[in-house]
Amino acid sequence: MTARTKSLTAALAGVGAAALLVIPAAGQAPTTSWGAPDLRGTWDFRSITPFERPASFKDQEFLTPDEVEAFEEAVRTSREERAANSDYTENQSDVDVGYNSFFIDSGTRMSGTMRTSMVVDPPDGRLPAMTEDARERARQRYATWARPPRTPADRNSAVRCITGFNAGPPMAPGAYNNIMEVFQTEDHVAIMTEMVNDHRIIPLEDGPPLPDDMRLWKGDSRGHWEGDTLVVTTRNFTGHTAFRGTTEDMVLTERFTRSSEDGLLYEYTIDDPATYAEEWSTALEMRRTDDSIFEYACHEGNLAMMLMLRGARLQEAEGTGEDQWLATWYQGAAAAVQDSDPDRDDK
Amino acid sequence: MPRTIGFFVVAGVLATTSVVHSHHAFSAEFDANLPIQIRGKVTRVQWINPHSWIHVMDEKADGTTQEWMLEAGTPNTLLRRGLTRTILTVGTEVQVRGYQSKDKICDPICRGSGRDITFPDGTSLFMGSSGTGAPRDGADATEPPR
Repeated sequence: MTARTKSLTAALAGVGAAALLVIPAAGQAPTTSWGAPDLRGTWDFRSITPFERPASFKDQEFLTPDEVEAFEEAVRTSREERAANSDYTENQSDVDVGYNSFFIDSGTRMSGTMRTSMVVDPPDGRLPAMTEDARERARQRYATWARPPRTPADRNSAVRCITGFNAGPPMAPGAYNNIMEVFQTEDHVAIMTEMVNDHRIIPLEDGPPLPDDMRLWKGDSRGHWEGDTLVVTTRNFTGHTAFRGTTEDMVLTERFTRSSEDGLLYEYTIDDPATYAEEWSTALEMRRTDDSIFEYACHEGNLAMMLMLRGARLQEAEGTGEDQWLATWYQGAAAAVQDSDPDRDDK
Repeated sequence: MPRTIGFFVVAGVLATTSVVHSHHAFSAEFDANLPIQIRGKVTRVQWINPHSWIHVMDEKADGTTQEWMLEAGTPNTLLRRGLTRTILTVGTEVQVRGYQSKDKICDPICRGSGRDITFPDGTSLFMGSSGTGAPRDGADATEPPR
């Protein structure tokens, strides 16, 4: 028995199957009036499940309910302590903490998958190594973001209100606006995220692929049913969105499966050899929510770009333009790609 | 066993989840060296994604006033904190701590961030309330039942 099998066995023994993610047997998922699996509704994808498996979990793939509860409590305690102990005045990191306390809405619960990470493949729960070319692209991105912005183009597409940072494809839990609504007809599925009110209309019928030179910010999505699972393949990206550093040639495969009355299992696989040496996949269970999706007014309501550009010009005039502009949450990743060895342990 | 999941795991979580996704560096928009404390009445609330804006007429010690607009979370983020349209109404007396914008421009209105907000009865929102990760205190009606 492998260590992983042992941990799963222990999890099953400790909690009982009812508490684990239950995938309805084929044909048992809720269906629409025309007999398709019913994915409709508003789904909350907030989660505090780590994206990659923390080293302290070693080879443990699943958690018991007690461990999930303890993990959630530990996160809550950590956030409280950080907020209580933060220095209000003149502290760069506290500005980001202030942001967190006031703005961040990433949830308080782990995913119903009860996994130690969202990454499920590779089996160690860690992303494959990035290629050296991808690391160089990352270094250039971070170098641009670390300097005072000269034009709006010096900031990423999310800051510029072109795309949403968690809206996908693929959808990935972020700081806020972590809900989406799914609409269905017999031959189309539409997904609208609250973030930027991004929407995708996904045809479910075969058709000719887009020409290779026709590129879309969110790619071209095509879907089909495999049993009770909606499988969506997306190609023809632009490369501007660069989800986790990927290129325009990324092939994204998403899988949507009703896991329970109030659960939607969401899995995706990233295939982009120019960025990652191997394919990798994640799994997350979204939860049904009664929350409403609010209208987005990113350009109209977001004064950040104006304040950043004016602030940069003022700092230049005052001779303080070399201020640190890279958000604290990027600084670890930026430091990691400075090492040219793609096989380093922390990837 | 449950208590053995400790700080190291949590630190890993914070490090992992914080790497990729957020809108902009808060510190790119506001100046950590310009902390502000605003006290006065709410004059307007703009419930806008991705950031709500709360307008407050600051009543300064010298008797003059200065209007501020303070950046806040998304409408859903505020609602999950229990901050609804019926609570945060025009005329509500509040005290807000935050940071001024890097551009320092106050014409026609000063802009800043809202780090936390306190009401006359001492109730403080955003810091340590549900949804930011604090214990479930009943304030977050949308928190799924356990």
